[in-house]
Amino acid sequence: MKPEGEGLYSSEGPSSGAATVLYPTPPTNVLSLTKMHQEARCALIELLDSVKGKKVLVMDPKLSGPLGQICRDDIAERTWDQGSLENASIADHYRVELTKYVAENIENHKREGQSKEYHVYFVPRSTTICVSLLEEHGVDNVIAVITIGEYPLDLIPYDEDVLSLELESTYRECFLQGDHSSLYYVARSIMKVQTTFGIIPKITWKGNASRLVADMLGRMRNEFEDELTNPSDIDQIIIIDRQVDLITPLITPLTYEGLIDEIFGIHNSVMEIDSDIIGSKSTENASSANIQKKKISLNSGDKVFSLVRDLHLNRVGSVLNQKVKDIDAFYKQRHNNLTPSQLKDFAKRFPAAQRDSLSVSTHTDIAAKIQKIVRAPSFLSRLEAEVELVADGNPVDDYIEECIDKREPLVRLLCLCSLVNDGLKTKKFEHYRSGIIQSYGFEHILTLDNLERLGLFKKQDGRNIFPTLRKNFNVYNEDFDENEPVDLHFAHSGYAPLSIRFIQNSFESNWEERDDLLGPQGRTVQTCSGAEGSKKCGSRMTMVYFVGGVTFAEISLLRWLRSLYGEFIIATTELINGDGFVQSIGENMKPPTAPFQPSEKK
Amino acid sequence: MSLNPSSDWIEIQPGCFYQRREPYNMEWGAVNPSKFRLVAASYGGLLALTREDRKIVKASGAETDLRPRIDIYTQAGKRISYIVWNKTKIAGMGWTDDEKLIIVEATGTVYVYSLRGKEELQFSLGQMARDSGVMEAKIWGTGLVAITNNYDILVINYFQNLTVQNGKAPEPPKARLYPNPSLAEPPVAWAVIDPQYTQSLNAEVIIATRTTVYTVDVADVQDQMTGTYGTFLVIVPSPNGKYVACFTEGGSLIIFPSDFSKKKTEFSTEYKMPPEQMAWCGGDSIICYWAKLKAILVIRVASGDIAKPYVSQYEQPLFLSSECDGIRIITPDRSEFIQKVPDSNESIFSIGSTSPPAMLYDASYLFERKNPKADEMIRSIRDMEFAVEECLRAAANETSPYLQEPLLTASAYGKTFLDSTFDSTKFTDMCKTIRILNAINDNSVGMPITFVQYEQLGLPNIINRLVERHQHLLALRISQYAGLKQEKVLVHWACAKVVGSTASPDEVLHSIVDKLKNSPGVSYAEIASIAHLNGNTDLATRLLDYEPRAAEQVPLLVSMHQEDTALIKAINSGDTDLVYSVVLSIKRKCRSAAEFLQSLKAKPVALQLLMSYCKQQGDLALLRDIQIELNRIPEAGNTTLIQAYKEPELKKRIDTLEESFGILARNKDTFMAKAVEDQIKLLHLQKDFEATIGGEYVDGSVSDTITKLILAGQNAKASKMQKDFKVPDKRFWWLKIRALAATSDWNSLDKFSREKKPPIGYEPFVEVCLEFKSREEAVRYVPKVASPAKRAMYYATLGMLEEGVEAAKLTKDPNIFQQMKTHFSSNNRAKEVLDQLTEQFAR
Repeated sequence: MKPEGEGLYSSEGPSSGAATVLYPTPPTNVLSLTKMHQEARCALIELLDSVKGKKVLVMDPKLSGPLGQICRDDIAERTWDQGSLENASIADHYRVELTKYVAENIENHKREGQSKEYHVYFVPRSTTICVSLLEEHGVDNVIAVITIGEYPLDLIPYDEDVLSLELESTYRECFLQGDHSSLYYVARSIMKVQTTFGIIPKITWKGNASRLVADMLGRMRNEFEDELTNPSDIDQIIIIDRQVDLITPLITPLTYEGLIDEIFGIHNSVMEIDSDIIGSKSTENASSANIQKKKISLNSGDKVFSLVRDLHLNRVGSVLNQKVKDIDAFYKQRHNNLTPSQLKDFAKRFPAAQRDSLSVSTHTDIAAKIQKIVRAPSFLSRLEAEVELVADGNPVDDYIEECIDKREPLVRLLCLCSLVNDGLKTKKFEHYRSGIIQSYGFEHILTLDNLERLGLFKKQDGRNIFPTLRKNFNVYNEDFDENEPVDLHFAHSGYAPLSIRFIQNSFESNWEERDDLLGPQGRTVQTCSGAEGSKKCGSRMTMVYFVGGVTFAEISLLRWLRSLYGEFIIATTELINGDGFVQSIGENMKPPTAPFQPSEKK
Repeated sequence: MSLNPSSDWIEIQPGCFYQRREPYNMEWGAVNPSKFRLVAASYGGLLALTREDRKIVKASGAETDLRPRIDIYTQAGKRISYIVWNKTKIAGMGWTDDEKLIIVEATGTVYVYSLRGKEELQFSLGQMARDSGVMEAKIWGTGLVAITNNYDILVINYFQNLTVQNGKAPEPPKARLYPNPSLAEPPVAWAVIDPQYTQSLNAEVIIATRTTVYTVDVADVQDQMTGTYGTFLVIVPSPNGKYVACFTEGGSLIIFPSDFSKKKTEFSTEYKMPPEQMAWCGGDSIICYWAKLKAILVIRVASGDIAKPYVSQYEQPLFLSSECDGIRIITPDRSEFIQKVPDSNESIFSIGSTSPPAMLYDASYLFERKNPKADEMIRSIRDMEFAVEECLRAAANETSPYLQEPLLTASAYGKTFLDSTFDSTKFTDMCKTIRILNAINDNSVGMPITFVQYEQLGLPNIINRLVERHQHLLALRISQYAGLKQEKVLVHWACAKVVGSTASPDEVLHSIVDKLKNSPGVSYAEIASIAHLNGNTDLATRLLDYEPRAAEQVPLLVSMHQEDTALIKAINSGDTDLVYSVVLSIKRKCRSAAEFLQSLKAKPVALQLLMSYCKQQGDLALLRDIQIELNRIPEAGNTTLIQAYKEPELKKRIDTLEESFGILARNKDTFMAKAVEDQIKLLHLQKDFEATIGGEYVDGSVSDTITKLILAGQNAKASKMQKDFKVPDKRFWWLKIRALAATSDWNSLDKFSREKKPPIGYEPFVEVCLEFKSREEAVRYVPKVASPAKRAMYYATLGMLEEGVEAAKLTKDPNIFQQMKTHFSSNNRAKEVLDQLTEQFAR
């Protein structure tokens, strides 16, 4: 008799036996992103080795996350002796103040009479500003030898199908400050994808920022002419900017990973959680005083997590239960009389089963904690208000008023309210504005000003297109089945993201007519001068580049769409959630006293 | 029998053969190396020689220019250029790996010359060198060591980049001071170990004094305690840095590992005088030269015991230069190369050899002559692949095509007996290599390098050397032939054309564009930068138009003072950093802020970036100036607001806020101005409260302030605030009941609830009681809550099942019972009751 549970733990991971019950399937390795991984890694190691002799590495703490994705152990293996003679620094160009620290540091060493060589590497490139700053601080003509270089890290693979530039506040920079630096990095990273994997035959773009990226790509093509010869495995790239769909990040997601990010925050695919939430309950009363933070890695390497990450929260429990049963069934095999070869097989699969069983218990605890938070009245009334807004644009005045009176985080909902109504009536707009200043404090005045400039919170003018969009794109549907979803509505309590709708539409033949309401759009077809190479993999593959950030729920939905449109690779300037998104637009004149904006999750 | 070079071999030890090659007869007209200071670049590179100022040279009468000068020759003695030396004493001279001539002047100045005799860079070794002067300097492929007259050791480990790039002069390298071994007198001898062979990857300096030897590296000085061996008069490290050969005052030659850990071997030469020249021949023997003896001694040190050295007579003076696999001996009329016979060649050509490659070579010879014995020999070869590869290698080691040919024939013949697993590209690649070697070994080129050196140096470096010598066509052909990128060669050619051509700019441009149009990777900017440096700005501009990379165009345009064009190109490229670089350079040039802004006014992208830059740098004053200049009043007002909040002092902050109000009041939308005005009013009030009531009020919002006043029992003031700031009733109620609950002032809360009907209803009362953990107080307000559904839920929250059920029944909604259930998760009876009720009402 065939023992139950066999085939669950082959060495390659869960077999189709398990996956048929579970939907969606975990991502397969869509494109060998390891190639990009390796390139970035080799470049880093080469850079470090190029600094001769013993060295000390000083690094921007913000880089440790992304670099950790590139080289997990290698860096540790190459630890250098303390107090040695040369310095290699890696600074991040986004933060001008860091360059100042570097300069000060060198100055100090000089004063102490230490003779060292310095190598300053900027990520992703050395900019005029930073170099001139170093020069201004007089670090060019001291006895110390300074080499300035750059580490061209761009798209970092965060998962098998997710790449991120790990920029910060791209949306703010582009649309508020008019600083298009990040768009240049986006274009450059797409060129790098093309020089690595070949020319992408079709470029579809949506939105003004995307148009600029597409233009730059056209120009860069000439510059890189000699490096672009082969056609790519990627069939098309869709560049979409956040301005096209500002609504989605504002709405609370209900997918498992989306909620984890919303509630606990995910940084560099790691979440931090109080250690008393997970694990045996006996420790709970033992020492509640010293609750420690525990780090949990969230990526497709964890087979259990990759089963549930894209599901609606309500499904997570049952899938985890099923998994527990599968694992139990597997463990029970040892009671059967196994032949030696079966026994060997069992032993081989045992470690994977153990890993999964640990992961199941962790995620069961996390899911339970999230359930508890989601069921709280305050959370539910927030969801209700969101639904009312997207479902029929009901201005949820009472709720907003009450938030202002009670001084609860409001900015996301306020923007949502303004967006779906194409602005608020002048009287109401003024009323809210002065109410916010009065209640939350004057310090938010520039944040309000920024929101108005960006059209996120503004006075009504012109025609409201949202009702048309809602109808044309089936944006809201209250009848959705979170267990057997048939459309996108399951991820945000009935709301289907416009961004994903655009992506769906771009696969249609008459796509150009369908959604010009969302902003300008276009498509370029690139031909390839080189040999007409045959595609290595059969399935259709699309790269979707979100300029200005993508949410975890959007990623989940694209994964869900795989069965219809082929593989997706998601690239983005940064991974965002609603709180982080609105925070990046804010302007803190000083630490505010009341939380108009959600506080940063550490 | 077949062609065999072994008759020319020299058996310097029993069973150990060396060979001597005489690649060239020198064309330099009997220059006597002993009268000159001569340095040779490694890998058969160039020679530089200058008259030794300590030696008397007989003037031939033919010289017209008696100024000291440095001549640069190829290995074949063909002069390429010369440098007139009008500076002070030369403390050291040497070639880098890419054939730049480095000259260290006794003043501590270092000059870098191209092989065409053009000074490309000069820099100082620093104050120390300037002050005391450089006694002696030694140069190797990538760096230099200088010892000052105070015996300080200055080191440059790696010259980074010594050539002009993108119109910018290279960054001069900086010397590092090594620790001082505290010498009291000049070192007897000293030497440097190339950093690429040391553990720290920093150069090690070996200094011999009368009593001992010091090894100095970047971190410390090590005394090697070699006193027992006597004074070392000559020290020479081996080409691979592993060993050091020392000649002692007793006439002994001692080989140490380079860390001096243990003497490797010792040999007495029986000459008390130190040799004039001593050099390694490859890594396994030492050659000493005494002018008096008119002979060299070849001492093989590879094996433990040193047998009798081999002596070779040289009637003429000579110069020794080590290579990784042999040694060059340059005499007035010959350039020779001595090396150990390479293993492959030895195994083929030594008399009576029966090694597989030797058998193959003989078999091939017989086969060519249709001798059936060939077949028999082929059959006797066990390892044919080895034989084929060795014949190939041997062919590459030979310089004469007469020997290369039969060896290649043998290899090709043997190849036919191998199965398909043999990678035939090995054969074709080697043939290519041999052709390239033959081409550059030619007299006219004068790069006599062996196959081993070729592999070490690498083809790209060889091509670099060729283009530097203006052998562009050959370099291009070799690049094409070897499948390497040709852009570099083409660019170098074009640069040389720009500099050297006397034709009109039009013609130069045409001839360049014509030649380069089919090579997409060519950097026109580089060519343009040379044209610009050469003073031909017009040609530079026109060349730049062909450059597709904005990142290359823009910096050059800036250095050509064409900022406007640069700015446009930068903006078009989308690369913001380029825009920044142009904007900053314009800023540096402008005398006033107004002039600066004027020049940027028509470029919104640049202005936007400049403003973003000001924000990043915290230069708010400039930011505001720009905004006012551009008539962006609201933004200027906002900037002033940020400035105000950067003021730590309240009075100054209020002043700046007033200023901001002044700017914002010009605006059509009065909201901002009004808000600022209110804020000023609020801050004044808060200051008063702090003075009269005490506590912290400043920087709170209106709501904060009211809450604090209530907490402080200042109800009248709180009510006045409500009126003054038009705080809605509802908000005031919320603030008040929360403040009361927070202080557990339940009596006042109760009283307040009865004052009048609360405009916010009674739910908030329940909520604040729950929030501040008073169940009893909460129960008091639940019955007053208007909505039965909410009442039911509150009762459920409080665990009061019956009251909750009563309220829920009024709603007639079955869902409510289910929602209530979540609050009774551990109460099974309650759950049953609620389930029943759900069913009851669902019907």
